[in-house]
Amino acid sequence: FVYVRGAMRKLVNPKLFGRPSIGLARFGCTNRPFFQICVFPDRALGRRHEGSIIEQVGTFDPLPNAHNEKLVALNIERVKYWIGERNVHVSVPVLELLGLSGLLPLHPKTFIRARDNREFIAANEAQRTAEAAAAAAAAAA
Amino acid sequence: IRMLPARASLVTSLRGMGRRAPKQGKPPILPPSKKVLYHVVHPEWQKPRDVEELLWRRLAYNNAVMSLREVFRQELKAKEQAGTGVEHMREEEERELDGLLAAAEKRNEERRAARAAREAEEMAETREEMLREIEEKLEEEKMRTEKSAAEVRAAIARSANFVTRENLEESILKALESPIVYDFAIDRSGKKYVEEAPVKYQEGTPTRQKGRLYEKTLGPFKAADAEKTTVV
Repeated sequence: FVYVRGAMRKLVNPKLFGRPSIGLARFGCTNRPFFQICVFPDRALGRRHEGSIIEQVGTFDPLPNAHNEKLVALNIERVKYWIGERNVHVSVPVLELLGLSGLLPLHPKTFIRARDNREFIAANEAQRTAEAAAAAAAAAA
Repeated sequence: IRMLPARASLVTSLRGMGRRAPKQGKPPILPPSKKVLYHVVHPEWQKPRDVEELLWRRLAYNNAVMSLREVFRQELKAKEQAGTGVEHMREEEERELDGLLAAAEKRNEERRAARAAREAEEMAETREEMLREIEEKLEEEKMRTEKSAAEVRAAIARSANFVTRENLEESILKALESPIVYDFAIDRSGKKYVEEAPVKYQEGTPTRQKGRLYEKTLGPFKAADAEKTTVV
């Protein structure tokens, strides 16, 4: 039996587990996040940490750069291997990134997020035009 | 005004030095209470239209991802068969490494041979130089020994007429027989004025000295002497 440290002690059957997972591992420093897209072992073996990384498969910089871009790097060949051959579990943020890159279809969450963003921008625009109109009316009056 | 953190509660505000808020719930070692029957999940609220949309989108997405998994597997298999898979790459790299190592080894061998030849030459040169130096040193030594031997021989020769305890008696008698007179004067023209050879054994008592006996030059300078002058 394998003991899992961390939360409640639970026994994991080694014969049944073995599905690795691809997720974002946060590196960087305070107020400066930077994610490495890594392959971790089974989720039951404890929460993901730097020592348990099997392989690094990409990077993701969440802060936009000078051209207002968020840079993502992906090792497509290795990702295909892990997803196709080894049947890994992929976390939702990584699924979104893969969808945006074109390897997989767009994740449902991306659509929801896009719609929310659109509504937010529209609301902002409406508010700004309303304020401009109010200011113009106040100036005219 | 002091801004309290978001998780501020009565518990936090009443804490003294330990400002960290405690973890939620009981410590993990304790079992759950009898009242708790099962673990209740509290999902966050979503808008109803999002829930409907997500449902059909999720079904389509999962279906697509499952098919894509199979597609990737087929791709990898095709690559493996074509000879461009990971294993083939690994073998290729190993072969390349072996080739590079062999080339490096060959280069090392050539350099080793060249270095050996060069070193042999230099060794021979140094050997010659060393031998020459040794020869020079030996010659110097020989000359020095010869010189010192000659000096010693000269000293020995000089000491032939030394006065020793053995020839003391005879040397004294000899000296008395043939005494050397150092008492002479010499003037600018080169004329030597010598005292007459003294007698060995005084006869009678010598006269009392009157005047400066050694002053022979006080006499008149004769013309005959002028011929014998030597310019000094």
